Amino acid sequence: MNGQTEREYQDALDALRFPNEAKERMMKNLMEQKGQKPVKRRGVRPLRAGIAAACLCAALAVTAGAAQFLGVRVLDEDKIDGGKIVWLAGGIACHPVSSLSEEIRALDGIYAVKPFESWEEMERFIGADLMNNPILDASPASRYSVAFDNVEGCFLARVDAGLRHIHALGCYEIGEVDIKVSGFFYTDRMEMEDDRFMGYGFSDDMEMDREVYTTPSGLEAQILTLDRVEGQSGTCIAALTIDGVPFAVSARGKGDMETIREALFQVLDGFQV
Amino acid sequence: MRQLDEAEARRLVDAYANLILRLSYTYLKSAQDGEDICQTVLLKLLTGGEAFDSPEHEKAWVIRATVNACKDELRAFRRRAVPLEDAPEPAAPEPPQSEVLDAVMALPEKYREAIYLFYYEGYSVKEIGVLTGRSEAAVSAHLSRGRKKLRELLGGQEYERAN
Repeated sequence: MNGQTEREYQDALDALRFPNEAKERMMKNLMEQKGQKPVKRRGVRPLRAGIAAACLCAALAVTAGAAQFLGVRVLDEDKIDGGKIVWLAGGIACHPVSSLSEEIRALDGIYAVKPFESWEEMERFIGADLMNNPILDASPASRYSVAFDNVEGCFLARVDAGLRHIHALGCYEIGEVDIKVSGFFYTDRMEMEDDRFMGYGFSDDMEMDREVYTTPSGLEAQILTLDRVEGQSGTCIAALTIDGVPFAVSARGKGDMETIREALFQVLDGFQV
Repeated sequence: MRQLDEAEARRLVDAYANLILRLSYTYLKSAQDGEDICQTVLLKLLTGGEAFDSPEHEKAWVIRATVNACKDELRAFRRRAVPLEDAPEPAAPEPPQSEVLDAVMALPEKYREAIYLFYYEGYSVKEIGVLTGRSEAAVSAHLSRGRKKLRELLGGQEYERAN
């Protein structure tokens, strides 16, 4: 670097600083946490106060081939700074990498987020039949933007650089309710620490009801219904596993909770085994 | 006691928050995680009971802890399925518009690390080696290659500062 370049670099970094508001927030959080056992991060960011329903996907479970569970379960709330995380776990089978499509295997070593025109196209790309649901097939798709990766689309597959896991996301609309279907496909390359596949973070002021629902095709789904917080959308979440692929289905909308729940149950009833 | 704690927390935030933000930005290419990394490092410092010989010793500890926290974050990010559904979060500090900063941020991680510690924090090659656990030769090579790449990215003649 010459002197001018060096100064410009230094000036640019000088300008990168926390606003006072952020410093005060950190001070408050530090004082609160200091009196407690330090929060174990478990590979996810601590929630900050005010987060309503952050969706977090977890690092995973047990040793690859051994991670076979009959069903999905909801783990106890994990207390974190400013809120709690409820984890969805289990229902995971690890599929051989060799079973994946040539197209996705060609991505080995590359992290990628790819948009698709349909769920079926995404399945062809992955090389696996993840789920069949005529209700979703008949519902309009909605676009979703993954800001971090600057990718937008209705059907998105995120592939990690080692072909260890693939997150397939489909976004739909049923009436006024936004439906997001996330399937988590794991391969035999995954070295797992536990069997959590997804976490939902809530601020302390939210309440949540849990129930179990069995679909007409015999799938057992764990249902979480969240109390609506003023000014925010209502949310209802279902977790289930289909042939060793755990799914999280979220339904969100501005309408009444009954409408949101109805849309979710409609989707659940559409899953075919 | 509470007042002492608060005063100490305030001192640490004032002294190190922006350093941690800049270093974590250098590693993670995102200012969004700066606040989490900052809290992780400062909480460790507040509760860890480390003893320091001098302010420089304390600062070096903060830099090492930040580097480790960033590497943990990168490892966790690479291992986990990152949320496709993002939650609204408090606004992150906005990285400034700068051609030079953009060029540095386009370099590989180890070059960015060396350039930040050398040109911004003012550490010598030897000190950077101690801070990052790399050999002096490796740090020297990273600086040299980083500068060469910067020359390519920015164009024009560069005059290198001696190590």
